[in-house]
Amino acid sequence: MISTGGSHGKGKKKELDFDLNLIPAIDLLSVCICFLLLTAVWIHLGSLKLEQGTGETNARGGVNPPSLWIQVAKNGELTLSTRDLPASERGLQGSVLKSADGKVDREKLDQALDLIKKRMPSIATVIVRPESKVPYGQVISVIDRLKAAKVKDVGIAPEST
Amino acid sequence: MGLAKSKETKDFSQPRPASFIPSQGPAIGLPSPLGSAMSSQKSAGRKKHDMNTPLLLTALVDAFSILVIFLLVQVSGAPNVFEADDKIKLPKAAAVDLQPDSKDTKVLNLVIHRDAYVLDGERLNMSGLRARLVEAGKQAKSEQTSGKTRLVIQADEQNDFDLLSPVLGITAEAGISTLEFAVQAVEEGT
Repeated sequence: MISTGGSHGKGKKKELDFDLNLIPAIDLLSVCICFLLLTAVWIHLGSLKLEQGTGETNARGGVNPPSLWIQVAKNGELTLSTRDLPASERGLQGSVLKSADGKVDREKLDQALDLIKKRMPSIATVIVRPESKVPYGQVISVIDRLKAAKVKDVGIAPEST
Repeated sequence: MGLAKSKETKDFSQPRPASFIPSQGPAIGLPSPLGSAMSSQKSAGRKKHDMNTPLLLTALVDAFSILVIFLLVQVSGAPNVFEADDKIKLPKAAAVDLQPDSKDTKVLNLVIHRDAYVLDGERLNMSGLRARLVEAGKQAKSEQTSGKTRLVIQADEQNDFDLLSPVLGITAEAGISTLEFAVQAVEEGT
């Protein structure tokens, strides 16, 4: 605050001691807050991208890369097996990751993927193979863990009926 | 007949209140009757607490400013890649791709309900969906955007996978190679 300290000399001087009126500022900020609260995005959406082979790509032929196949059962059980591994690496055949609550055990899957990465470094492709009655959320949960484990190529292959 | 001039003048020699005081009203205004009544009760009996507590508006403005900045940061964050269907509860995932692809890609939005497929707002049965996707694939090839057509799939987390599996076959047949499964992005570990 600035004050002149009273009148000096001739005549009464204009008072310089004033208060900043904060009410309009509060009004403005309130309107801003209301607008931003209404327009804010509270649920963030995203997507999990998968590349799938089309008719043309399959026709190219060639050698299949080493891959890990994960079969997802309705009770949340995962069965892991490897295919087309080089002779130097020992693969998996039907290793089962059991589930306690009917949902995919994400921690067990993370641990298994870590182990596979260390023991079978040639595997860069993982194919998820869900059974027909598996909840979609469980399939996404498996793909999510694969993406989190930085698996390069993730594919999905429905069971042939 | 002249207009009577208002004799109301303000005494500027008196110090003005620093901020809102109940007995004096707002900083620029008349004293509030309620505040005056509350102040006058002092003399009636035993000494009461002083009701003339100034309301500190500066702190309020500070709090509001922080709120506005927080909300602005929230709004200017990553925009949603697509519009979610209200009837569907999307599954949650942490390792998501929040950034939309480049603008030259053609995006098809497929919502899978229990009884129908909705492609870009059009309700279709299985054969209709097949026809539309094959057509979209052909169109993409003719427009030299082959491989850049992507299909965003939204489905409820409780849906059976057999609702989705025919779609995968059709997309492969139609030459749509990029599939995106819509999810609700969450922090790792939640």
